[in-house]
Amino acid sequence: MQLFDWIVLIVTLLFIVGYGSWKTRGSKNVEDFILGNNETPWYTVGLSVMATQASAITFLSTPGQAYHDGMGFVQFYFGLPIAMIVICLTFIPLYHKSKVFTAYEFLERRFDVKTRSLAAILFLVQRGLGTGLTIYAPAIILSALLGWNLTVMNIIIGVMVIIYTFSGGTKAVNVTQKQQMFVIMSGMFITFFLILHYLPNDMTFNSALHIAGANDKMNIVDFSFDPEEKYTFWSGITGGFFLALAYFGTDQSQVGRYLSGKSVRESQMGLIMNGLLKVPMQFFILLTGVMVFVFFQFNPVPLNFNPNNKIAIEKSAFKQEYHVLEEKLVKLSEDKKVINLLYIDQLNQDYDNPILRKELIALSNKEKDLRDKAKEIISRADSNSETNDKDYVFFHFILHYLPKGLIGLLLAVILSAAMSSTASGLTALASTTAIDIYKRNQTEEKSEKHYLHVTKFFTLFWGIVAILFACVGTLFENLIQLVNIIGSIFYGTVLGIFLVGFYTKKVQAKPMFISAIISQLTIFVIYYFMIYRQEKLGYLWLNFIGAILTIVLALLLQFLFFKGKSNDNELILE
Amino acid sequence: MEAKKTKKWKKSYTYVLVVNAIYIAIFLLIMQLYS
Repeated sequence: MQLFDWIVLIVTLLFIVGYGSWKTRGSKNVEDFILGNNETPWYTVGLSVMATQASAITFLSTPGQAYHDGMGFVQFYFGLPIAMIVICLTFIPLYHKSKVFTAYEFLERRFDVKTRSLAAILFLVQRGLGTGLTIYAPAIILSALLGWNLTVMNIIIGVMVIIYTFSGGTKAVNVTQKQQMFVIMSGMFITFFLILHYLPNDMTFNSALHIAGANDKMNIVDFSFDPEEKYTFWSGITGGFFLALAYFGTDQSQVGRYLSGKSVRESQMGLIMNGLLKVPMQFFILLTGVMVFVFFQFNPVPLNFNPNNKIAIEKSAFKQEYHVLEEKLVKLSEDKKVINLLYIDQLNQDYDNPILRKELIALSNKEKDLRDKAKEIISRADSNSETNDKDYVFFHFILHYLPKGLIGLLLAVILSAAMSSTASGLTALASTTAIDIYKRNQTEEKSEKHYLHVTKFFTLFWGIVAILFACVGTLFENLIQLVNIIGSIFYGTVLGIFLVGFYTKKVQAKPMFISAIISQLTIFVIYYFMIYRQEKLGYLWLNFIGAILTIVLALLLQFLFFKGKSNDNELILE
Repeated sequence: MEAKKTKKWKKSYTYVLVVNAIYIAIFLLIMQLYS
């Protein structure tokens, strides 16, 4: 990091925070603070929805994912556009019709206060931990690569977000997310074209894709039904659909984005924008990772990209063993480079040599073996180490190969992404606590100003909780996995409640609440079997099982035990 | 009435499905060409 990088980084971030706070200062009431007075146009809703989902980990991890496993991860997003349409058709019109501040408020109109509180509390637990992680995850990677103090980084990211969310609420989140998306996408585009520029002289983009293909990185779509395959077309369409429906349809950090839309149509258009742009955006980020892979076919590459692992090895008794592997990798990289250059040369003469392709695949497999052996040694040297280095690949490239100024811009990209997700999380946590918990339990009438101050207070409160959680993050092993599991455990039940609320007219509050509780307890039991009895089931399936179980149980209970009883809830569905 | 109107299928939803189907077709084409 040089002075110019520091200037680019600090000016970019201070501008976003300063402009966002100044432009949206002085919210008049709680509606202004939480819903931005319903003045947001569709393109801002769309950008805001996209910026909320794209956290720092998206930009750190996804290129690394493509580097190691190719482009197949894009299939995970195939169900998202269908989920966007379902939300536009059903969720948005009903949220707007019932004039709610939060998604959970709808549940009281449709069922009762118990169901509303249950969904709100499940959300607070899950998103409270998740928002801490959106700060912690990039901070730990950047502190490992740059040697910065982890706690200081957590505090800086957290405080910057608190400043503008406290000052302007939803409006500030929307304004800053537009700028953050601009910084993120321009930084990624510049980096992509620079990688192409850094490739050997006679190498075109077409040749780079051939090299990636020959190394097994261009298997984008997989139609197999193999349950062992993590990402296939079918798991993307089904699992991805349910996850996107739960996340965009019931998670207040996303619902809050489109509830601020000027009208039903503007909110719908924002999600349509997401449905049109999400898949190509993820494809582009993965392609950037594949181009980093092609770049490293012609440049020195480390055995493991996480610098902490290298430090641990150097201090251990396994140092020699690791160095032998490193020397083997250097030799193998040289062989690969020669064959890759020969392969390109023949490609330029319109000959796709199958023998050279086979040889490249054989060398790739050897490289994978070396990396797996290196991971084993790292685990022996430090049993607590994270041997999976995919989060570190892209930033390793940025730090070692990008020119002055651009490193600062790319750091701004990562921190902007962290801030945009954290800001949506904080406003969602604050509005849910203020509206669904605090205001709902008030017996006396209070002024608008009072609720505005309370919502602001909860923004500050959750901001501090998120920073504290990020600061103690190192105490927990596999933190990211932990939060993903917590998300999967609760999302299914909450989605099930909303789907029953949206699509059935007859199910009443009592059977709904009982089925939600039974379903949630069943998910806990399934999770127990997954952990302690080593049953093999992907976490993504918990969403699906939770949702289906909640719906089926609610319908069964209604028709078996509550048939004929009147539905006295306030909201009558059409 | 407003909620009923907005619940209707719109052209933009068809575009989302068609455009995403085109993306997948392009991905298959890229696979044919490069892998």
